[in-house]
Amino acid sequence: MIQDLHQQHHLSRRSLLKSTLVTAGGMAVANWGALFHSQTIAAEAKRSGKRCIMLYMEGGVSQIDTFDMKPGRPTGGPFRPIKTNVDGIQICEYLPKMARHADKLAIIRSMRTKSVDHGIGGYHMHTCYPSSEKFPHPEIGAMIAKYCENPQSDLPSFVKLGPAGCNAGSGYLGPQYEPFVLGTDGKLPGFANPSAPPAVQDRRAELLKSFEERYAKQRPAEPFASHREAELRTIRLMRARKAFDVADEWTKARERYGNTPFGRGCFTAVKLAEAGVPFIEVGHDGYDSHNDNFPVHKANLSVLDPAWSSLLQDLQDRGMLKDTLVVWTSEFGRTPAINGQGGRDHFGRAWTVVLAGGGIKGGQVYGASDRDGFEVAEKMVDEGAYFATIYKTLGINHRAKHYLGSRPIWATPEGSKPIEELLA
Amino acid sequence: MNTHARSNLLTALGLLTAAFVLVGGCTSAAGGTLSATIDREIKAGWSKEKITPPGRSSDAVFLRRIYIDLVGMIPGYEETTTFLADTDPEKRAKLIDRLLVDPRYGRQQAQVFDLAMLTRDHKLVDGTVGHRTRGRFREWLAKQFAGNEPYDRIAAKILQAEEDGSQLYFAVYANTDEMAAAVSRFFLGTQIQCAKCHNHPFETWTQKDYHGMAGFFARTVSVEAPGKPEVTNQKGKQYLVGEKEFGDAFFPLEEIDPKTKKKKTIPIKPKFLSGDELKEPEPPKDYVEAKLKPNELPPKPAFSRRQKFVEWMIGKDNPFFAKAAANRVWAQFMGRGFVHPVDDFISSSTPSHPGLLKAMETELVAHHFDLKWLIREIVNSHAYQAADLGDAKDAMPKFYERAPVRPLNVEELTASLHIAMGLGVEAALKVEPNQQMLQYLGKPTDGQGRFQGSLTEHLFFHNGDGFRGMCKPGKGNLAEQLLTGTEDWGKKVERMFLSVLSRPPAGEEREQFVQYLGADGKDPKLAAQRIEDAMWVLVSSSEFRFNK
Amino acid sequence: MNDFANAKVLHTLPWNSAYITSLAFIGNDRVAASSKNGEILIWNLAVPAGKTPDPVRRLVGHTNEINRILVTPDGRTLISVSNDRTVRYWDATSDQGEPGSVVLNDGFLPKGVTEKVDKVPPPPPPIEVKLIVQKPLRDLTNHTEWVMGLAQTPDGKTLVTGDDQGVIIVWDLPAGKELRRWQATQWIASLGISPDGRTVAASQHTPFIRFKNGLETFVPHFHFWDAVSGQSKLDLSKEIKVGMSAVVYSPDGKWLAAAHGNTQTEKNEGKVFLIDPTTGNKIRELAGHPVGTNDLAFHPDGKHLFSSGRDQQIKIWNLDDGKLVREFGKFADRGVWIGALSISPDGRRLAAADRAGQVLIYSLTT
Repeated sequence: MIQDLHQQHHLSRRSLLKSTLVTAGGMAVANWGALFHSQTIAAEAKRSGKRCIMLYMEGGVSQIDTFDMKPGRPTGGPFRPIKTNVDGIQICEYLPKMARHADKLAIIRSMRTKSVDHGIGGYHMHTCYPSSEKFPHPEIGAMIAKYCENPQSDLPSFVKLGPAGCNAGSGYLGPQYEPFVLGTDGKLPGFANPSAPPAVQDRRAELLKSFEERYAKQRPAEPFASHREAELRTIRLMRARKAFDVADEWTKARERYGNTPFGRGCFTAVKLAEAGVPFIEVGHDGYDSHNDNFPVHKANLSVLDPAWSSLLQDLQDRGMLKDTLVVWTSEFGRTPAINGQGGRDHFGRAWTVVLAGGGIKGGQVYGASDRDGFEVAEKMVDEGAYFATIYKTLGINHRAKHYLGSRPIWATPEGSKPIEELLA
Repeated sequence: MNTHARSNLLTALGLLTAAFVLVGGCTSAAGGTLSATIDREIKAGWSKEKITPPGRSSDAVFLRRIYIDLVGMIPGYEETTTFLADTDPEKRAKLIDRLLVDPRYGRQQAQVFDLAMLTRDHKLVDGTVGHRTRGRFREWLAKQFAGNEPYDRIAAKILQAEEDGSQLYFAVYANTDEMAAAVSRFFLGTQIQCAKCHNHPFETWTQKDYHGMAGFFARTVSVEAPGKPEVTNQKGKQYLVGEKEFGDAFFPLEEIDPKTKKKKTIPIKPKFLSGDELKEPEPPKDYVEAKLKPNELPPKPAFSRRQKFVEWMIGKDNPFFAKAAANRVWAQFMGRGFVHPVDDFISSSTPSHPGLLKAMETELVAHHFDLKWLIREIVNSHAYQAADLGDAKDAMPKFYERAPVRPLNVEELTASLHIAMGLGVEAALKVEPNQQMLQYLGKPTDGQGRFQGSLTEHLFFHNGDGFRGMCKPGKGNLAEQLLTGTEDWGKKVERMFLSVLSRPPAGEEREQFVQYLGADGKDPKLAAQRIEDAMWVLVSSSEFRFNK
Repeated sequence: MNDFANAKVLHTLPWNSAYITSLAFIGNDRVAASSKNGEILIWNLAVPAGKTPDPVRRLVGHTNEINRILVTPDGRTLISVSNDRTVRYWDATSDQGEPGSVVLNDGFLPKGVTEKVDKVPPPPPPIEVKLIVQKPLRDLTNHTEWVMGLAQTPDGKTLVTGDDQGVIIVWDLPAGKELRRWQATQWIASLGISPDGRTVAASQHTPFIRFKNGLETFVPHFHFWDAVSGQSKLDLSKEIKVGMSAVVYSPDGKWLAAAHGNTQTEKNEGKVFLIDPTTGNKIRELAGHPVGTNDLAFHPDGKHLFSSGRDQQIKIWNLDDGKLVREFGKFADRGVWIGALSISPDGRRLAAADRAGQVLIYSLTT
């Protein structure tokens, strides 16, 4: 019986898609047409089957104290560099486990970005556009969800855990790509557990479905469709919620990942990626060290190091690393100069992000900052190039075009180019 | 013919019939000349765009729509059955008149304006100006609307911020830039904040225009003062707004001052948007601005820039205010303004119905900004009373060829849930959306007003206590009455639909629900579960979730 | 009773190479200061009136930030702990060593910190002082992480240190030998040892910026540890819920003081707690310094406690009634922190170091 209902739900969703396909020549129109262009989307993305996990350091992580060390310089601070498993690449002594994965990493030391405060920084690094435009740009997760999702999957295609860096959501891409937000440690939101036994759930869902279908006749307005779509997805999600329950395996994994919420979040991300979710963002907060930068970063790195390295290791062990891009990023970097409270302040003129997996050529450093870290010395990377590189890696056209009303909008600004050297 | 074409034909037939009704009984009895103008202009718009005119809404659809729009909650069972059974051809107009003097009208109108002005969440220094701490502002607004204070007076009072409870606007928009941007957006209907740093990309507003407007607010300050408990609704805090004698907005030039190494700035004279510079008296030479304690207001200045702004804003020559007001109120009931977004007039905006907008603006001024008059004219029009059926997919069709579809906001949803469950108007008025409701249902639309169905919202519907809990039989609610009542299932289903959806069930629906409810026979526990299920289905449906 | 009404600044000793982390008097007329750049300078304060003392000795050896220093009661040994993971002993009195010099004003200029300025102002002409450079007597590598906690018993027999792995080591101080060690949870932010050498009071705190959402295992702890067995005697974590920047016993053993000042003190919270050293009960709370208190020092008169804070002030408290007796400096919400304090053994002088690169020497006499 339950099997039948399952089938029926799939069918009804597909038939929903069919009956409301809008033409408009392949261009997704505003927010709503995007929902139903599965044929066009499939053609655009060629369903690369790739995934992305984004590790987002909230608060602004210090590049000089992680991947862009300045030993002996007045801006260097008390951390010392250590060798990695790649000749010529040195990183912070408090990332010893990551040092053994340097051959997977592409370390971009020449990020130069414009939005250097909380709120606007997170927005810009999530959408590729400044928030001052007051335009409904989608977050990177929504864009990746749209082009990489598997419509047959019962799981949401855009999952977030941990402190949110940005709440732009799916913007003009429409509600189908809204993020599904889990608790900090990967637990489902409080209401994911069904409140009624399966028989009751199923029968009332059936009643609702036929009620809605009757109502929908002569009422094709988009909000109704969106509401129905969300209901169907929710039922599928409740059915698939076991995918989020990693508690048993976690007891074994937590020694490697570190028994912290971020550690568990990284582990959950691996499991969800394995289950086919194309984009998972895991937030790690507390990097905004205007005071006491070094104790704070040392404490944070003791959480980051085991979690991130175990994530890379597990992806590799499962044979998933070549199809899974792992992005390590933040709102902005931190100043080279150390202030009177032993802290570093916000800094966007030269900082570092790290990419791994998914087809990225590892074991390299791209770009450089100057001797003390004040400016980019070579190969500057702005927000557009950073986003374009990520999209290209995942098989997404970085100049994908959508419309809002009559105004066209692209996934990255004009002139953005992916960095070819980073792609294998 | 295939099913698609057949359903099209049926639709066409239905519309044709409705169209006869439309053409036949055209003069709206209670609507005045503006109503007629509305209908004429909207109809002209349909002809021009070659759009099939919509039919008239059924009584049930109209009833629910007008209740939510005017009093913020659905009608109760008694109100519904009475209205549907009433044969008076003027019943719609009479209902409108009754609702406009209902005590819930002021409250609903205040909620709408409060949300539009201050948005869903705004943080003040030490706390969130969220749902609860805005109570005083909403109460004050409700009094204005209930008393039908002219809209220009309400706007002036908000900006003057002298009456108790009116001050929250400047407490939220606490610095010069925010004030200038918020006031322009809401009251003048145009967004000037882009022109702060560079000349506006799509508009003729220049940086000097922006800073000229900012100049009016450069001296305005708001302070947090210990409150009188009988006046405040929060722990002893209230916000007072005052104005300093001196102070200027500064305009940054491109030149760098060699001494400070920063951009040079010059004080800007306040300038009315698209108008003249403000003529100010010279400040007395030996006046020294008083040194103020942290929670102290400055004494009233001899010359108030803000007051001059208010006078200009509501003056009869102001090119923005009346137009913005007309557009906004029209959008409130029709889903979208003639210019959309409603606060984004730019010189290149082409209103969808320029003649109608002009007429509405003129009439509003002639009626001294009488809001109830304007609302009455709008909701009595055929355009407002259009059917909820049709081919248009847009939530808010540009030419109003179908009634707009908008999600109930969380206040309307909470109140309507209580009415649907038979708990009565008093209970519905007392309750405020709790933390969870606000969290999961507080922001169903994105910044552009488009509905976003989300997984977390539906998870909340499915499994959240607050929502599902209301459907369980108990506390004398409707579910309990249906459980314990002796009438047959058919009658119970009718009662259910009339209470929750404000309409009788269609034949097919009645059968299906009767079958569902009776499937477990007389066992009270199993029957209770099924009643809960059925109620849950109705309140989780699109039909309940949206106003259309 | 001295209410320090006539206290005044005698000398302002500049040293802005990096900010000064800790101070200690050597006898009554010499003062040592440790710096974030891993060096220690020693000044001789017995100079003719009107002259500003120059540093006379420079202790070189640490390769990373020095967190704390102290001088033994006999005035002969200076001990320092550092982020280079070592504990070092130095001869506090000798003036033998290699001739050398130090530049007192080569600190990194704050201009051009967040924003690039077109022209960073040229550095000022260096103020160079000739002095003697000295090496450590001992270089103890028993710790494997940053050593942050340092304290001694007033009889100079027992030393205790703590690192950010949570390892606490009790030492035979004169011999420089580890007696025992045990593991506490989390970083040792600061610690003190009771005058009878039997109890170590430790503030344990991992310096995350936030503690919500699952980081409950890392909330700060405060324990009285048995210095002999290494067992926890008393867990005061419920009463003292935050990390402490300084934990100090009064030399007469009557008081234990702990000051709140760490990465979480963005709100007005820099209280000072006075705790009964035996029962662990909170005797009283002093208001301390808004935003955070950095250091504490008991006055040898046994009646007063000095505190310095993130509000640019030094405060003197009466221990018996908890009242504020005097404050030095002007309050500033985001001012220059006063990071370290030390009082001379005879109680007549106070040394205070601020984050603007100077050591202020106050006369405390009437």
